[in-house]
Amino acid sequence: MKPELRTYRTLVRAFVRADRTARIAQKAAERKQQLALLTYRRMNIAREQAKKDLDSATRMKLLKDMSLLNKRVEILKQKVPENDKKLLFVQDTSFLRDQILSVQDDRHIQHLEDISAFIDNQREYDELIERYNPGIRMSQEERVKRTANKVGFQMPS
Amino acid sequence: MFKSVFRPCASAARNARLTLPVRSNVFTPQMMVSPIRFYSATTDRNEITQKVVDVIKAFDRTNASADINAKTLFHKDLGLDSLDTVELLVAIEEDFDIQFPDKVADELKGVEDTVEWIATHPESE
Repeated sequence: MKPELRTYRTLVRAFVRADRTARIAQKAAERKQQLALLTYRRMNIAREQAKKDLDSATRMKLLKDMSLLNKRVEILKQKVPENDKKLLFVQDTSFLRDQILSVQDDRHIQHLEDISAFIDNQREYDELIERYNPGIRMSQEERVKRTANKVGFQMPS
Repeated sequence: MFKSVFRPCASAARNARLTLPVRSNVFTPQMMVSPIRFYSATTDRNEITQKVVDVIKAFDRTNASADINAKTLFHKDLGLDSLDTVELLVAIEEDFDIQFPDKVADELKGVEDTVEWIATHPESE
């Protein structure tokens, strides 16, 4: 294997691994947002349906919309962000590609190797920090809730 | 200090050894003849092929995403250059939690080679 290709491989691998956690979190957040939006639309339709002066055509249309929304919610709930195969690829590799293609000497290759080592070590460091400090990534809301729970209180919802 | 802790353990171990042959009579003979071994990695080729194909389908730089099968070659059929192939192999590595050695990675030209290598190296790390 050519040294350029080997370096490219370590770089890509480092990037994929480093991005993974953040991308899963992002996808989960997006999913939550979409679910909230769909729930809001469903509520609106339910409100429309509760009105009394509706003709049958409108009623049918509302029913159809409702079932469509329900189906979309079901599909969304079945999606697990961790299983997405897109997570295995770096989203945009054009920059890395340019770097590798413009490699002139061994020093440049060594520099790229160092970058991938740095990214890899940084990821490992972050993982360890998280492992030794459980709850460090917890949101403020969650932290307050758990603290209250510790003394037997519950946050007002 | 820990003697009192270890002593019951040792006696328990001895007892266990004694009771083991007696217990084996309770099991059905078939279970003893063909013990089922569980590997963390899947060794079924069809399953591996399906997984590899799924990974390739998620790669957005392939030009023939519709019909990918075991005979597909990365360079000829999918139109991937060497850097693309490296990216794809890294993705497959990550999916199966393995690492292709440098020499092997050079020789993997298509789905078939990759599946073959993964199937024959279930313990590769």
